[in-house]
Amino acid sequence: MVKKNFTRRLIIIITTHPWLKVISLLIAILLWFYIQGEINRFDY
Amino acid sequence: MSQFMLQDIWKPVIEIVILWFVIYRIMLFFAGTRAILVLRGIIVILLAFFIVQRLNFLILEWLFTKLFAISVLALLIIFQPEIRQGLANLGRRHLFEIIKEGEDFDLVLKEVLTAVENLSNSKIGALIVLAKEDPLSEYIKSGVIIDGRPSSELIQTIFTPNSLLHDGGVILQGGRVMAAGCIFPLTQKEQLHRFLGTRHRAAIGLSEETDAVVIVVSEERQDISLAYKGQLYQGLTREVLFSKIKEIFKTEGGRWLKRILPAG
Repeated sequence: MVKKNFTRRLIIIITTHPWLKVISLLIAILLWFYIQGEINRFDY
Repeated sequence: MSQFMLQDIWKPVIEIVILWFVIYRIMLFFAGTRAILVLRGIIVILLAFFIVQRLNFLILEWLFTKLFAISVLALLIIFQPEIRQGLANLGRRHLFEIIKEGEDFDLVLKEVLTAVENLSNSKIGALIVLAKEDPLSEYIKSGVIIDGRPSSELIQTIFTPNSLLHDGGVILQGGRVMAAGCIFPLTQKEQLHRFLGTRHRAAIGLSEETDAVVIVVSEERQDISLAYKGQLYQGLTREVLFSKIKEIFKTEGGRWLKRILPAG
C-alpha cells in the first residue's frame, strides 16, 4: 500500500508541469557551465 | 582513481539539481502571471549569450555583458510587484504546506463545506476556489482582497444576494480567504448542458487553466458540483465532496471520481 502510494506520488511529481521541468533543467545546466566557465576564466 | 572521479561528479550533480529546483520554483511562481512573457525573453537572451560565449564572439559577448549589467536594475523595477509578492508569500507558502498536510486543512475544508451546504439549502449560488500549486495572483487581482481566516459565516456572507461581493468567485489560498468577487475565464466547451450557466462555465474555465479545485453551488437546482482539471462533477454530497477534495490535495490528482460530463 505504502509502495503503491509512493509510486503514485512519484508519477504525479514527474508528470506535473513536465515542460517547465525540462526547460528549468536545461537552464540549470547552462547556468552551471556558464558559472564554471567564469570561475575558470577569472581563476577564483 | 574511481573514488576521485566520483568526487568530481557528485558535486556538480548536486549543484545542478539545486539550481534546477530553484529555477523550477521561480518559473512555477511566474507561470500564472504576465511576467512569464518577460521571463521567456530573458531565457532567450540567456541562451543567446551562452551560444555567443561558446563561439567566442568577443564584440557580442561584450555587448551582452553590458546589457546584463543594466538589465539587473531594469528587472528589479519591472518585477517589483512580483518580487514583493514572492517574498511575502515565502512564509505563507510554508504555512500552506503545513495546512495542506495537517489537521488545519480539515478544519478549513469543513468550514468551506458547511458554507457550501448552507448556501445550497438556501438556494444561493456560489463559486469557491481552492488553490493548489498554480499561482492564482492574476485572478486574485481581479477581485477584492480579503486575506481573512476562513469561516462558514464569512463565505456565506460574501455570497448573500445583493452583497457587493456576491458576484464572481472566492479564492482560498494558503489556508486564507484571499479574495472575493474574482473573475474567471469561461470555458469554450460546447458540449455542456444548457442548464449550466456562467458560474459553472467559469468554474470549468478556471480548472482548465490552472490546477485549482473549484466548488460550484447552483442557485436554481441547489446542486453542488466540483470542477477539476477541466472536468465537472455534479450532484455531490458534502461527504463525497470532503473525501474527494482531501484525496486531490493528498495525491495531487489521479482518478478519484467518475466523470459525469463528456470531456468536450
